Amino acid sequence: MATRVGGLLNGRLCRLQEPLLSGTAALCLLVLCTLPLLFLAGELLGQDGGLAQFDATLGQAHAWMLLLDTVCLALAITALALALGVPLAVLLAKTDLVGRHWVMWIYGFQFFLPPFLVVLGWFQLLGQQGLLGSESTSQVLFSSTGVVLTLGLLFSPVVVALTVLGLRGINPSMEEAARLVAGPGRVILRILLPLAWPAMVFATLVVFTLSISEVGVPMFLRVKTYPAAVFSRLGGVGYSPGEAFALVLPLLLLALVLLLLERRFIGGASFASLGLRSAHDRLYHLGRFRIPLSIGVWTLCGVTLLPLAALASKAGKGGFSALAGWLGGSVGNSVLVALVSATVITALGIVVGTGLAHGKQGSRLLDGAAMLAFITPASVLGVGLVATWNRPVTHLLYGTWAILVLGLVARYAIVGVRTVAAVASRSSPSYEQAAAVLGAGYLRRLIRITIPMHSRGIGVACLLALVFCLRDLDTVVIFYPPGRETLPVRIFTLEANGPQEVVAALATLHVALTALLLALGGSLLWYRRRA
Amino acid sequence: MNTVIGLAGVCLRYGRNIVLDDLFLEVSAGEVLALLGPSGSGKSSLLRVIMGFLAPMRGVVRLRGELASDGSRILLLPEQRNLAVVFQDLALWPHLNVWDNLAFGLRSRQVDRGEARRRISHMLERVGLAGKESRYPGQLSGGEQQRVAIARALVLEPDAVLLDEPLSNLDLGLRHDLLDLFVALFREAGTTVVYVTHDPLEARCLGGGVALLDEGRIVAQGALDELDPQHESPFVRLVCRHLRQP
Repeated sequence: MATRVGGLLNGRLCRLQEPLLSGTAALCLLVLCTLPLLFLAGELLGQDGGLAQFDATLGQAHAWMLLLDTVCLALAITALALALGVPLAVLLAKTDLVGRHWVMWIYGFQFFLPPFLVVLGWFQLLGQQGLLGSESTSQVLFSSTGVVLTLGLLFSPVVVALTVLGLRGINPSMEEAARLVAGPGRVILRILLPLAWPAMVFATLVVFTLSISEVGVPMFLRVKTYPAAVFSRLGGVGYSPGEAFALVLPLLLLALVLLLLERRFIGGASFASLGLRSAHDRLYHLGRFRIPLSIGVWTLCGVTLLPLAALASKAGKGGFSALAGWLGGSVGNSVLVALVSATVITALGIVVGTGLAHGKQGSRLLDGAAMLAFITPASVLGVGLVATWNRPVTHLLYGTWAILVLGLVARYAIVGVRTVAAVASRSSPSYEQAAAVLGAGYLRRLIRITIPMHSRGIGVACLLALVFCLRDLDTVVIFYPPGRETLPVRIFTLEANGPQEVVAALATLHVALTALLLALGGSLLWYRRRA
Repeated sequence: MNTVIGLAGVCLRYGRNIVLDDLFLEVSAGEVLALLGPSGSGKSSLLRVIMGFLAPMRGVVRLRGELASDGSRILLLPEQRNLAVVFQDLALWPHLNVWDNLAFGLRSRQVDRGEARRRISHMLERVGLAGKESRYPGQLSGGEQQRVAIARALVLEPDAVLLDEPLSNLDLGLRHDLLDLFVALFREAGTTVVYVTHDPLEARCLGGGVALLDEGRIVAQGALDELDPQHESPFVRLVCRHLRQP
């Protein structure tokens, strides 16, 4: 009898596993990603003197001009990132460029750092008092051109990485069928790049989103942008939360437009066309262009390292010795928050991403919610998080580092979802179906089949989420609780009136921390691949 | 006889795994050769060696008498070999419509525009796809996609067409219809064909010679009905048994 009851219970639990786990993940994702935007919309409509506030803030032409300037700036940054990224991706993915695997890591490293920190390095190099600086270099740096050049270079690894994945994900026989009748140039231009377009369009969207969200760099380079105007109304002398709420409305609409564009033109293609294919790449020989092109690409890599070297040089002038007194708990906060957030993002990514890859009901909606939170400018999401969680009943969350985790998971959940989906879409759902037929419940299938099969891809998702959370400034700077500032926030707040050597030393520490994490993560993934 | 494809002493390895082992093969002009072999026998690798996508460790590949690969040196690049291919998954380019899928190779080989238009129209007419030029591969049925794939290969008027199990994903009825169409097209064009399959009946329908590939070697070559039922290779004996079944 007991055995029978146990069996029945076990069977019922088995059946409940999938709805329970998927439902929890779905609920978490929806609450974290959409609630801030819904609360924000509620605040916008319900605030005192609502319409009058909108009139006062958005009725002025200069607010709209600022928005237009910011969109143009983001478009210019995106154009530069594409101009640099696409040719480089082709060289890295399809040619025998010298040391192409190393180029990928070295060139990509800059993206894993807070943009503000890298620009701080450019300031140490090209500012008026910089190592290579003069009045004219400083003028260029502290201008819209400076913002475009620094951020365009900084975000181009996104284009490189996504385009390389897109190119590697192309069915090899499509390339071979073309190679049999056409030369490399024509095959790349007419077949490979068009086939990789979903990856490139996705890269365009990501770079545009990151550009329009950026607060730290334009503020540091004294270039007025719309998100910076929102940020300035949430603290300091310009404190005016009502105005901030009104100002985020156009950005919220912009995010919705971006989401519609993403759904219309990319949708599932962005992850279906990306893959971590490790099959033998078909490489084109560069011939007599190999050495000059390799020198050019390696020089570009060197350029990306220059600001980091400038920071280290500045930090060496007494910054490191004074570091302990200025650190506070920022390193611990950064690592703790990034680790917890990355774990949650990966867990959500496994459940939602595999569902998305295999077309499970509702997964497109969840993917849309996560995408909306990502493409919503960070300042808007930040204001939404304040509107949602800053209330007495949730103070236990809002007053601690938990709010940082909530904010980061909301913003970067898409990284986990799309990365796992990209990996899972490469394998047939029949692996799981076979296990289900053999009697394995959802949890057992997840632990014994899905996770081990995609362990490398899941590892990549976790590493990416970790680094995204570690580098974030724009989201958390709006709502970090007192005493819980992360390292990028610490550097950002100290930059205005702290000793430059110490700021440079903190920045160098951040660079070292990121490099260490990437090296550890990369080694683990490499070891896993070998195994 | 005029040899279009000639392989002599070709060896190919993936790591420790020997894929092609001292392989000799000759295909004459206008010949339709069915290359039969069990899974993993090296059929697709052999095609890739002929196309120039894989460099053998040893041996030579000659195309129309010209040295194309000599050991691990690829002397003629794939696009210089004047070959065409139909892959198992067809590899139709999804972003190009039917017309552009056919025109891509002609433009790459700088065929005059008028001539290209004439050839494409004729070929589409021949495979029964006239009027569907502006459709994309995703808008076509499985059978229509097969027709585009064969048309794309033949429109180039190549020295040889290589087909890698092109009909393996189709149902029996459609497979027979398409095979009849393929044979008619091959005869009409007088093209040299290497048709990879694992189905002896499909090889018989082609009506040409066969080469049997097993464990990286050509173990028998000639007319299908002349295969020795007592052959030392178990694969040849299996094929003979299969052909005798009613």
